[in-house]
Formats: sequence, structure tokens, C-alpha cells
Amino acid sequence: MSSEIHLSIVGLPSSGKTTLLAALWHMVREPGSITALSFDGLSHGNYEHLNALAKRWRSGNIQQRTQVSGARDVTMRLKDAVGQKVQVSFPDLPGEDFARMWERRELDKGMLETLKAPALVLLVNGDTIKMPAWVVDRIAMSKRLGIGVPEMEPTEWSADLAPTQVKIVDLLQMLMSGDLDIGGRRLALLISAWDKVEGDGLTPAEILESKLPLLHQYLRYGRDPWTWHVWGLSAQGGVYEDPEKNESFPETDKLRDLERPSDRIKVVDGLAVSSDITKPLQWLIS
Amino acid sequence: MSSILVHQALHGYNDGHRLISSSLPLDAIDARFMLVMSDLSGPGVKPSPNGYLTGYPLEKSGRYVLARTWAAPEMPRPGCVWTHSLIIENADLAKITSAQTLLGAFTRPAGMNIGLAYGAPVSVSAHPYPNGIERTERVELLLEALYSSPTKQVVTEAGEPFDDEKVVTAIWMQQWPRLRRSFGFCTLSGMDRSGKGIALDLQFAREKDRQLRSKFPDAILADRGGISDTLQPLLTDLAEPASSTLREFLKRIGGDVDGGRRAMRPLCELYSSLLGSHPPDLTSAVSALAALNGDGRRQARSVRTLVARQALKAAGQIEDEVFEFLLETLERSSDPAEQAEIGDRVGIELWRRSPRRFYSALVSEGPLGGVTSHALAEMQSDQIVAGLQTNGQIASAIAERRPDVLMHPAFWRIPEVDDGLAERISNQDVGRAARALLAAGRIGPATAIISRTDPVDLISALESAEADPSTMLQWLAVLCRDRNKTAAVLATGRVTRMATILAVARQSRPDDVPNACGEDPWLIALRTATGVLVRSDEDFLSAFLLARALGWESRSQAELLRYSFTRVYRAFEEGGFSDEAKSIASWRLDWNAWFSSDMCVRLTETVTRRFVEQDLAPQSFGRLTDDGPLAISLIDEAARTGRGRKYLERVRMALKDATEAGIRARADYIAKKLK
Repeated sequence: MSSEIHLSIVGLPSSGKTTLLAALWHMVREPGSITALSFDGLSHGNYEHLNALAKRWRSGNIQQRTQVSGARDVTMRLKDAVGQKVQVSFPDLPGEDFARMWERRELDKGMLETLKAPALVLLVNGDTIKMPAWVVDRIAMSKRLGIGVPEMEPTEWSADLAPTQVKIVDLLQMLMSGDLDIGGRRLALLISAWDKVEGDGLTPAEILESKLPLLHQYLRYGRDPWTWHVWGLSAQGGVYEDPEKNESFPETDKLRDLERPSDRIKVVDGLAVSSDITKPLQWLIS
Repeated sequence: MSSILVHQALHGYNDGHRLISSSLPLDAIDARFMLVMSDLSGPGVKPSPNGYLTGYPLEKSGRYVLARTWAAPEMPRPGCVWTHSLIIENADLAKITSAQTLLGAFTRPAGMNIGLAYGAPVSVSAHPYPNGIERTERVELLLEALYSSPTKQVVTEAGEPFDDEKVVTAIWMQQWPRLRRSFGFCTLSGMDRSGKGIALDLQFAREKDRQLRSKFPDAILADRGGISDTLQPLLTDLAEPASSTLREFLKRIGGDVDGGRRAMRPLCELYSSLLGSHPPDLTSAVSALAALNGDGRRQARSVRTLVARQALKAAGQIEDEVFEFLLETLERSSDPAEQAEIGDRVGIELWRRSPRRFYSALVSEGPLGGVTSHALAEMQSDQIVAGLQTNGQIASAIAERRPDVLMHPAFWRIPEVDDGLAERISNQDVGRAARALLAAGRIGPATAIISRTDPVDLISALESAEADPSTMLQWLAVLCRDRNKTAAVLATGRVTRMATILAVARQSRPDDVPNACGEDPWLIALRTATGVLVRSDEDFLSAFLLARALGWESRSQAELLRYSFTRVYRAFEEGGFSDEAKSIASWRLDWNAWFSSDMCVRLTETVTRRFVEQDLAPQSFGRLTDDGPLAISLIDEAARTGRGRKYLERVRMALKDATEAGIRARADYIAKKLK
């Protein structure tokens, strides 16, 4: 018996939400792929958007950023290994909407239903994590280098200067308060652009602990009732080209040369690595 | 050339699409709108090197944004854009007549000092000369789609970017300020932007027909039919704005018009009706005003007043629709001067067209009630009565307010008018009203009216040329029931017709009319009355007056006998009396000693005896008849008694100095008789 499950994909701008959708749509429909969840057939809906995303992904073209006014509802009918059918729906939201939530403390009414989903995929771009710049560290470093403490002009606060984890933790807290508080929820934390991060030799959980300590502490100590798990995700598998800039990279050609496009995908769970991008979803709906 | 200060903002990519710089702090809602509208207008959209234009209102803050968006391929992600927005105060937008100066103010960001370049307002000139554009089929299609489907978004296939901008800004600048500040457009849209942003009136898209329909499901395509006649003035104006008065008209009239694009068609129709034809086509103008109404019933006040003034000039000839418009204008007006100006003519015209509606307005509250009340007071009474002819139901109610209509025969001819209304006639008007009632053939009110009417007025009414003869007789019958009034009427000295006297006589008995003092009313009436009676009527009247003279009521017995004696005598003599007249004539004749049945003898004896015994005026006895032998027989009759001879002596004295030889001969005969 099929059931409908409402998932939401959240994340700041450029965290890989649209790429995840593109890769997911491709993979569940790729002939011969073995995934925890597979495509079960078309349901009512407009797949033009998903097909366009998947086409760009397959051809190694970087996804165009989702426009501020471009939220699209996406619905997929999937089934698991034992034939249990689920209909998964999630909107393709622009990252600016989440940034705005944090920066302006505003929540678009249209997002309310989306953000009340009981299961969330949170994407954090592992390659662009903005670390906190501690004043004490900076002074200590200056002293160690023997250049003295520099005289600095105060810098006007700007949202884009805030550390990534500050935004993420606040975003998660917002999802657990006020109108959005629906009680305990499941959270699949995907550290995206894993191909850029994996050189550190750390597991996703270790990346979380070392590069996003505030987020790690927030989740680990259970201030809010999140049931969470962390993965590393490389949905592109490498560098993609921007056709508008007439870019052409050898690395991208290599990706295109792979026998199956889904081989570009890397999903890291602890030490285990696979290309099954549906595993985090399976965990969320289990 | 005056200039205006325009604020500006720059949006671009910096860890997400965001506001980079602005010369004015933006309200949160406006900031959100601008963020959405400044982003790329749809996935996959590729702006030309000069970008594309977006125009939209910031309704909350009363400003309008005209923005140019360029692709920003230098940014790290595809789909990033720069958008330079000019934020124009609505009041300033109204001053601009051409978009050229605004378009010249756009600058694509370059270099590092972006914040400095967009952090202060810019000055643009407000009054450059508007340029014309070519009359193309494309322009026709756009105008038709925009103004014939005013609630729909319009989408069309994008053409050459520069041409599209020229067309859209020309259409935008042609609009009156109020429409202009709500008109949204985008010269390159890749999706329906109404979801999160602002619904745009006009969008250009690169897609072809079928794709357009699927991408813009709620929009209509500007691809059908030519332009309707109504919108032709727009085309003419777009082609040659310098020689057109349309924009000025729209600017003046559009100021108090709601309804956005919906108002354009009616305004064009108004323009053509009022300024495009001589004389103005008021019916079309009113129809256009009705189309303007929509939700706002008080729109276009200035043009309403204009149309109303034109209509008033020919209030008597205008179509019903135009007249209805006048009424409506009046009802909605809150300006006393306007009410007075329109009201004076409208009220009377309303009566002419529909007295019933007039009455409804009269009893209602509001401006029309006041107007009709005033009009009712001003109208000629015959005009009022004319209107009541076919609206008898309201006749009584109108008469209450205009009692002078009661003086009109035509009013009383209205079947629905109740006799009881006569009671409301004032004492000073009752004579005139009597005349009207008599002319109208009304009998019911006779008793009440006769009792209240001055005798002089009454006889004047009864004998007026308009009086209905049979009604007059019935009124006289009523009059005769009031003996004193009858006496008063006869004694007025204003009875002019013998027929009237005869009619009164026929409805009375000889002694009915009192004569407590002065001359007998009958005698007074006889002096002034003229006219010829037929023989039988003359005989009847003579018999009647003879009977009255021989009774005890009259104080003018001698004169009445003098009037009647000869006629009655001849009637007896010739046997011409009707039975009725004969009966009256013989009623008071004495029986002589021989009980003679000769009526002539009895008449002579009775009359002579009455003169002698009551010592009536000797002069009258001498002149009782013009007939000589008859006069001799009277003298002979009187000479039979001693008392009679003494009386004859006085008669002789009265006649002896008469100028007429015949009368003096009678005196001589008496003298001989008395020797």
C-alpha cells in the first residue's frame, strides 16, 4: 500500500539542493541502477523541471541557481526493495529563502507547509563552510608572527560575514519553534561537495565535529528533538562546466566518460562509500 | 526643463541574490518584492547584452520601480544577474512624459565601487518630448489585448529587444498617471512571475505560441484580431503624440478613475464621444461612463460634470439614457452648487418625462427629493396638470403641494381625482375652482363649493363660457336649495343670461327667494340679464314672476307685475301656456264676483286690485303695459271703485308730465274717466 511522505530539502544558497534533485531524479530512473529506493512510475505532475535538471547534470553542466521566485514542487513515486511504495514530495526552494529566514527573520507563508515536513534533508556545502574568525586567535597569531596587534577599523555587520554554522544552527532552531514546531523530526545532514572535502581524510561525522562544532554540539546534545544522521555527498562527482562561459574542463570530460552517470555520485556514511543517493531518503522515511 | 530625483538600488549575487546597494531604506515588503523582481525572470532566460526592462509598482510605499536586468556571467554561478532599479515617487512618475530620460539613467555595475555608484539618488529630466512609435500590427495586438481583457496578464512573443522596449515604454507613458503607476511589465520573462512577485500586465517571452500557452497558463496571448474602433485613438496618439490631445484628456480624467486598464476603453470612448464629434455624442459618452463605473461609483467626476453640462443644454431632446445619467449625477452629487445647476432643469424635465418617477423622487430623501420639490414649486400649473393627465394616481398628492392645480378644469377631468379634494380649496381660490369644476363637469363638490363661494364669483363661474351646460343646471339645482344664497346670487347684479334666471326659476318656487329688504333679487337679475328665451320659456318665467309678485315675499311687486303682466295676459289670451306655466300664472289670481273663468279678466282684476289695495307705485300701474287698449282696460277696472279712482288720480299725476305722448294720453284718459 502506498503512502505519501513529505520531505523538504533545506540549505543555504549554493549548498547543492538542486544538484541533489537532479542526481536523484536521474538515478532512480537509470536502467540497471541498484538503489534502496527506485522509480515506481509517473504520478500526476509536471516532470519538465526535473528532466531539465537531470539533463544538465548528465551533460556535466553546472545547475543554474534557483531563482528567488522559482520554487517548484517536485513529486516522485518510489518503491523500496520489498516493493513498499512511497510518494515523496519536496519543493525545489531557492537557498535565498533560507538565508532570508536567518538574515531578516522573515518566513514566507508559502514556505510554511514545506518547512513543517517531518523529515528534512539539510545540505551544507563542505567546500564553502565559512569558519568563525575569532579575534583572540587572530591576535595570538599576530603575536606569534611578531607583527603586533594591528589597529583595525570596526567593520559594519553584514549577514554575509556570519559563519555558516551560526546560520545553520539558527535555521534548525527556527524549524523547532513557533509555527514550525511539530515535535520530533528526522534530519538527514548531507555535507555536499564531498569530493572537495574528502582529501582531509575525515568521516562526515568528523567533518561535522571539526568544521561545524556549534552545529555538532547542537545536534549531539539534543537541545531540540532531532533524530539525525550525517552523510557525505558528492552529487556532481567533480567540476561541472558553465556553458554560458564556454567552459571546458578535462575533469568534466572524465566524468562524462564514466559508463554510467550515476557512478559520479558518492554517498559516504561513516567509512562506507556507495553511489546510492537514495540511502539518506530511505533512512528518512524508514 | 524641470528634473526629478529618483532613488536607485542595485541587486546582484553575493552568497545568494541580494540587495547590494540602495539610495533609500526599503520597507520589508517592498524589499522582498524588489528582491524577487530583480532576480532573473525565469530559469533558462538569457538576457541580451543590453538586458531587459521590468516595471512594477511598490504599492505599499507609493513608488514605482523601473529596472534593467543584465546577465552576470562574471559571477560564480549560472543564472546570476545585476539589476539596476530606479525607484520613482508616484507623484514624480506623473510628471514624466517620456521614458527616455529614465532609460538613460541605467548603468550596469562595473569595477569595485558599486556601493558608491548606487548609494545616492539620481536626477532625471521630467519633460522631454514624447516620441512617436510606428503603427504596427504588433502594437495593435498589444493594445487590444491589454485594454479589451483588462483583468488578464498579457503575454507576447519577444521581438527585437530595443523595439520591444520602445513599444512597451510608449504604451506605459501613454497611460494616465494612476494607471501608469500600477502597470507592470517585463520585456523578457521566462516564466509566470505572478506566484511570488507582482502580477505583471504585459510580458514578453522568447517562446512561441504553444510554449507560451503552457508557460503562462493564466495569461492571454496578444495574437488575435486587429484593434477595435474604440481603441483607435490610442494608436493615433502613439504615432503622433505631439498632435494628439488624448494624453491630456486621459491625464485630466483618469485622475479620479479606478479600475486600472479596465478604464481605458471607456475613457477612449468618452474621448471620441466628447471631443471627436460635433455636437458631442452624449449617448455614447454616458454609455462609456457606465462602463467606467465598476466598483467605484463616484469615478470620473470631472468628466461627469462635463457630460452633465452638455446634456443640460439640450435637456428636452436628450435620449433617455442620457437623462438617466443626469438623474444619477444629481443623486450622487454632494456639491450644492452642482445640485442647483443641474437640478433646476432636470426636475422639470423629469416631470415632463415621468411624473410618477418625479413623485417617487419628491417623497424620497436626498438631492433628487430637493430638486423635485423645487421644480414642483417652479413649474407652471398647466404643465403640472398636463403631466397628471395620465398619472391620476398621484394627482391628489401633487395637488396637496400645488393647490393651484385645483383651479384647472383639466385637473378635475382626471378620473382618479376625488371630489373630496375640493375641500382643500382655499376660500380665496374657491371661485376660480368653481369655474374649473363647472367646466370639468364635476357635480359632487357643488354643495360645498357653492356654500363657500362669493355670490359674484359664483354667478361668474356658473355663467362662464367654459361651464358645461348640464353641469351648470345641476349646480343651479344645488344652489336653489340654499334660498339665501340664491337670493344673493340673483341680487349680485351680475346675472347676464336670461337662461340663468329661467333655470333658477325652474328649480324654485315663486316665494323661495327671500327679499327681506331692498329690491327683489329677481328684479335685479332681470335688469342685467340678456338673451332671448323661446316663447314657452318666456311664458313660464312671466308666470313665475307674476306669481311671485302677487305673493308676499317680493318687495318689488309693481316692477315684477310690470315685467310679467302683458306676457301673461297675451298667453292667457292666446291660450299658449303650458299646463305648468298656466298653473303658476293662475295660482294667485282672484276669483271675481261672477266666478268668471276668463283668465284675462281675472288677471286684470287681480293685478288692478293689488295696485289699488296695496297702493303700489302709480307710475308702474300707468306703465304696466305698452299695449294701449290693455292699459285702458286696467284704468277702467280701477275706476270701478272709489278707492280705485282715488288711486287713479295718483296715477294721472304720475303720468301727466311724461315725455311719451302715449303715456300722457293715458293721463288724459284717466282725467276724463274721473270727471
